[in-house]
Amino acid sequence: MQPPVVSPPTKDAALQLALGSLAAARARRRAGPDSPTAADPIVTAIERLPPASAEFAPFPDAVDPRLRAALAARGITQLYVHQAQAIAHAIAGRHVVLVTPTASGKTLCYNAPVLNAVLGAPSSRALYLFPTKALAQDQLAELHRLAELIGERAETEIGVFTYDGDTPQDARRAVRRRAHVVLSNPDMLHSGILPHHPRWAKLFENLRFVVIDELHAYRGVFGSHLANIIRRLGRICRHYGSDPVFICSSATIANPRGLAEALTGREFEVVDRSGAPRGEKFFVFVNPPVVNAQLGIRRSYLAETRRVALEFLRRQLQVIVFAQSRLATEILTTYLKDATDVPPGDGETIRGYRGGYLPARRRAIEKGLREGRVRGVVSTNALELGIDIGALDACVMAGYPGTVAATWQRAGRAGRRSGRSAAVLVASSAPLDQFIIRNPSYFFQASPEHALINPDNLHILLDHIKCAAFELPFAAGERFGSNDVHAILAMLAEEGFVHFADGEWHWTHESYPADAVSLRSVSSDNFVVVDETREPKVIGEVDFSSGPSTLHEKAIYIVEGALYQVGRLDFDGRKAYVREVDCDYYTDAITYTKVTILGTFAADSSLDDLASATTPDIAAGHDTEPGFIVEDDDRAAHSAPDGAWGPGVRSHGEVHVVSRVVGFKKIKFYTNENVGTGELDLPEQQMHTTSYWLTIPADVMRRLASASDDRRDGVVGLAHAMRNIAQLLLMCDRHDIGISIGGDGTQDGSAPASHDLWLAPQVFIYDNYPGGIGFSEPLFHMHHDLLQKTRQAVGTCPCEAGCPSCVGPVGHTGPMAKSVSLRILDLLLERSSAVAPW
Amino acid sequence: MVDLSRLREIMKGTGGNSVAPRPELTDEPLAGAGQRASGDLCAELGGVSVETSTGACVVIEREYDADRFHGRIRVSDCRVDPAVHASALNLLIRSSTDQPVPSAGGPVVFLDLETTGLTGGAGMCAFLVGCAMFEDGCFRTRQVFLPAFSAERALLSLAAEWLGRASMIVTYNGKSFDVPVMETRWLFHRMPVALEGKRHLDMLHPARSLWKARAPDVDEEWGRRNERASCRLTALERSLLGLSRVGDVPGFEIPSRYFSYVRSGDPSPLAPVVEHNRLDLISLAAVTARALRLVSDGPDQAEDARECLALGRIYDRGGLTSQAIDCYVRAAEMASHARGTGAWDRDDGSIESEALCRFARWARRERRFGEAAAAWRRVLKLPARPMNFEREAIEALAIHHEHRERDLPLAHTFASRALDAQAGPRGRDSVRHRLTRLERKLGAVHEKSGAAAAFFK
Repeated sequence: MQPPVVSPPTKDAALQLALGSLAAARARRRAGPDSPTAADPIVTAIERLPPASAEFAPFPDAVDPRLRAALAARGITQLYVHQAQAIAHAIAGRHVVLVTPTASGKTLCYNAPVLNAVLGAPSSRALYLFPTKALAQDQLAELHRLAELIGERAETEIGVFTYDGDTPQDARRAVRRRAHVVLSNPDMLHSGILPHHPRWAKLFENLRFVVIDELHAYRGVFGSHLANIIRRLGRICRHYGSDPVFICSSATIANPRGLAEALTGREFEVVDRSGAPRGEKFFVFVNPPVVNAQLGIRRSYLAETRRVALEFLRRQLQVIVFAQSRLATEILTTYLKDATDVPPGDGETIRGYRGGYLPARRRAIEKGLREGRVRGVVSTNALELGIDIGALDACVMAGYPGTVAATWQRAGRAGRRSGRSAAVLVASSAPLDQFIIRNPSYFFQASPEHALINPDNLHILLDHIKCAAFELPFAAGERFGSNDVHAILAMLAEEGFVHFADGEWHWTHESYPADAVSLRSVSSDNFVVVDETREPKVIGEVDFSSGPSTLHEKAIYIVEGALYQVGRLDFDGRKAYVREVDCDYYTDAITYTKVTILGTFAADSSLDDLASATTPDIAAGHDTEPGFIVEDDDRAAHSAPDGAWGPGVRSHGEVHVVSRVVGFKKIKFYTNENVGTGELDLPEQQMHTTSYWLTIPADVMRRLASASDDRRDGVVGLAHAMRNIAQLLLMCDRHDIGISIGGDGTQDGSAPASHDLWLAPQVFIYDNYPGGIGFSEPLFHMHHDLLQKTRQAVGTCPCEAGCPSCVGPVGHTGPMAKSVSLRILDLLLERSSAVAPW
Repeated sequence: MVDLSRLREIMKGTGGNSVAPRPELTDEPLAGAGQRASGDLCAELGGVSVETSTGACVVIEREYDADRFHGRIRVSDCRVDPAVHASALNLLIRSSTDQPVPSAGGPVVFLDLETTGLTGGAGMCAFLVGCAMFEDGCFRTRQVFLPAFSAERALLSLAAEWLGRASMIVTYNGKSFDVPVMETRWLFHRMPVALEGKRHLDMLHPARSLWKARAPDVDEEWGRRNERASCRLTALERSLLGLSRVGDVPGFEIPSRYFSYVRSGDPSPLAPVVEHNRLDLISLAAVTARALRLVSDGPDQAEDARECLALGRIYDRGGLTSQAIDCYVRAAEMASHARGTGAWDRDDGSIESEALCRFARWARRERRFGEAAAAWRRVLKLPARPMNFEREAIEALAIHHEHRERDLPLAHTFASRALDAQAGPRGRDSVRHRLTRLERKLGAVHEKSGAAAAFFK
């Protein structure tokens, strides 16, 4: 069945109607008996982003006339200002990072200097890195057309090829020989190109440009890996005598320069004023109504998302729905499939999309979206990056994406250069969501977040030093990034990986070290999901750390709305065997976590230190170097036996985390009722990582004047709220950090038993990756902001005595949790502002 | 600056499971620790130190007199001379032979490497480059050994000199291993690639097709089936040359022997590796010579049906059709003879089927339809025949009976059999198409004959 064709003006009108209907729902409900109060409206903001007209600038003089002619043939006769600036920087040999919104013509900013260089010297080469294979494939077609046009004019052939895991073996030699521009991804660079650099000698000898697109995607573990890969690339370029210029493009983040510099170890120019035109866009904030004011329970945000998405879908508008997790994606796909009258045999109009689907399925969905056959797609952040799915009419976000940057990025998937579009954010009851939805101005005026990486995470560093030693011998005294790697090499020599002779460390092992490293996680382990309903087949994969919580026995595993139950988890074989089931619930794992302090890198041992310990850069909101290097002296200075750092309030250091999935809850679809539980006996997962922690001083606890149970509840509630604000400040996914109280307690906040701990309890917010990925130190520096925003979130929450949005539901944390945690925050803030009024 | 005990744990894979780290002392590695004097090395390996502008390497030269025997083969019979063997060499080289082997010029050089691993990539190098050639009436091996990583440029320039003079090179699996490794090393050191454009005969492919049955797939060193190891040179040498090595170094041990030399400076574990490499070179020459003689002398020299069939394929590729057909006929005869004597297995069934099918295809092209059909019928009578040849024969016979013999009922019988034999849906569709057409034709015939019968009544 062909979808009805809706012409642009009709589309604009339909969109207006849908938005009108959303606003009307607000009016209707106001009139009803269960009406939301003025203090708690359903639609908290409708922001109109006016259309913007284009700002042009002339071509830089250095641009070859043949390139200009070819661009003119493609309809490009003038440049937007940001394009002209970026191109001028790159041609002049300055590293440049470009920060502009979706569809602002950023690809030209790197294609132009690259093609210009090839025209000037046909031996010139460029390497493009995209975070995924799909994005590289996406860029190939456009670049190829442009390169052909220019090639015709210059009477030369400009080779443009992707090189990734899908490139057939027999085509690889041709790519190496003929490619002027190689489009690849960090994984392929890491395992397929750098270790084979002699075969790529021509590329590395003539490498003029390295393009890193979607720079903001490289934060956390992935970014930490990439920074090391770039260090390896730098060594190889030096070996072949080249020194490429880096051109990076990023979505809006607070520290594009800092991130680009941390990833590449080079100094950057920033171009961040877009000259591209924009269509009119409406940004709507929707807060599901409170259904139980006493318990602070709101209508399910997934149900609310369903309602909003249907407003658009039923008006023939094409919609993308972003969900926060794989689970939510599957649930929403099910809801929307149920709600739209899909004629039999035409099940393709509503699709789910997420990582873990096999590539062929994903390509089919992308194509369906571009061709308009797929009317609605529910996706995780997998579609957040620039995969070409065409211009959609509306974007509905089920839950706050966690960062200002990601929210704008997702909103950008609806509406491109002209025509009206809408983005709707539906808040969940998570504190972060409630904070954002109730403070729209925070979002619309906020500076976006910092992207953080830690290239010197020991696990990651060690892996890449092995790879680097395999690629080129290390010279005595050679540095790797800022690291003196002598000690690491000496250790690798003890283990037989390298050998030092004649002033060089040589690789002396039969293995191929890149194979043992996965860039998307700290360890390369994962679980595969095998469907045994019929012929056994693999239907998905799950990374190692989330394996136990999503693939434990009896867990419900969902793929595009189809439910599977795990029959057996082969933990050692890393396989989960599932069968299709028909049931009305999903499962949620209960995890027990214990944190032990191994060493403290920094702590405020006296209050006077508070002010001086703050890095001025961070306080002033400037770019800072993310990540940190562990200095031995530093550690010695701050190390202290457990509990001996006196009235210390904030600390960061190294911790040991033990976590175990101890059981699971069965939760009914739609109603979210808990319909059963189960116990599990799974192996413990342990890791060494870094953590920030708050120690609530004993005198603060004493001044609470509450019963000991209430004091405990207050701390649990505080931790609940802090976790979410930390996530906001760190620009990280919920999964990236973990929380634990007093070194003992479950992740969902139930409290430790021992009474001693409550004299001066500790709240740990740790990096949820072995070795840490650089969240803890920045969080340590943002301590004051963390407390203040937590205070704001809890204080402005309209619930009476706690709800999932602030300190957790009453039944879970106790009746006094909200008031006690507010009191603790006031006392802590009073203390810190008395000393250091930031 | 880096916590070493943590590092140790991470390296041992216990990174996450540890208690608080303890700082520990480590040793400074010593440059060239424990390296013996190079005189020792030369003595151990039986070579001499050769100075180049980029350093010194150990060169080991050996000569084998022409009248010595290597297994069953005389060294003089291992001679590969481009002047004599040019056409046979061209037939064995798989790629298109636009650029024939020069019948004059440098010697044919046999090449075999010993490396620090099998993974490929920049972190792996050849520590022993073995070359061999006929010179001055004898077989001469010339090996260059890497005494230290820093001497690699010297090793590579010596190898480039030897290989550069060659009119062509012969390797065993060199297309995917030895040559890429050498190219990588030259490129790594930004030296010219001496093998660029050099004619290259990789004996692995012809050897597999000629002698796979004689070199069992089971890799005896590893005690398990190993696809990559199938038709290993050592296995071939045993069955073809009647040679078995005593105290040979297992291949998988070679890299670690070199690493242990690098660390300890003790070259004694490497002497057997150098010997192993030499034996590989001689066997490679012997195997090559055997293949060349087969190709030059034709099917008379073939010892069994497989050899004969493989020879036919080699001729076919080289455009020598009549020689190829000879081979196919002989191969089918030999296999059927073996069947008669009871020394026959499924493998022979496959050889006989292939030989017959290849003959039949040729006969059909030559419009010798009767002979073609007879060959296909013979395929269908074989007690064991691979599915693909059976399918080919049935389909060909269906076509033959429909269009040549015009025996529609028999064509129909074959087409029905073809339907059962088809694996893929596309194949089945085309067979169904044929069946429908045959049934229509048959119906028309029946009607006609029915009408005729009625008329005569």
